[in-house]
Amino acid sequence: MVPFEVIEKAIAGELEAIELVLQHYSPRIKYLSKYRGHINDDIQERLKTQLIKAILQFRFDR
Amino acid sequence: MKYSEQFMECVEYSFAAFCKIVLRNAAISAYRDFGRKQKHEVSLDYLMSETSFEPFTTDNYFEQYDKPTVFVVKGQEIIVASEWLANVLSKLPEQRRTVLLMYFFLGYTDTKIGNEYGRSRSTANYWKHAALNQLRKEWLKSKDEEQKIGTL
Repeated sequence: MVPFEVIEKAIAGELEAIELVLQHYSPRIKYLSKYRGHINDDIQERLKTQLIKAILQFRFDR
Repeated sequence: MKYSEQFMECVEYSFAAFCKIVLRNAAISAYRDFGRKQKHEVSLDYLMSETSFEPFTTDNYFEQYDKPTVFVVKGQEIIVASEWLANVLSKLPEQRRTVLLMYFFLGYTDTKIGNEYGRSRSTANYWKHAALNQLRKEWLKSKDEEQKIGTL
């Protein structure tokens, strides 16, 4: 799991932390972006951008 | 701010779940969009055999004009294909025409044009605008004359 400190920084928009989160989820992204048996680069890019967008929206202090 | 150990763990779990859900939903909508796109995609070969017209065009410059006008600026020939533009340009004084041609056809900067004449950049800029204004006037005049001839 992504450690708490990294989550805190990623939410604040720190690039390195977001990069770490992306790295942590890259196997899952690759697995999900398989389309008809091949990794589809378009889908992969799309998933990454969606994930970044979502990370920035995540809040835990509510 | 200090958080308790428990709270941090809870946040870690909820973040992981959040990311998983986001990725899953994004993937589902991506598959849907791709499937929809692929339904409309057609092979190019198939399209080619269906079209009745030529699928490409070739440009032919200077062909539809019988006699393109040629101005010589700094040893370079500049071909003005448009007939009315050539007419109006030839009515301008020599120097102003040269400035215009240098700027728009040879791609000189104002500074470079100024250097050619030993003047400053702003002077060249002024010449350019004055020449453009004159060009516009000449063009309107010739258009007026044409209209007069047409109405007479």
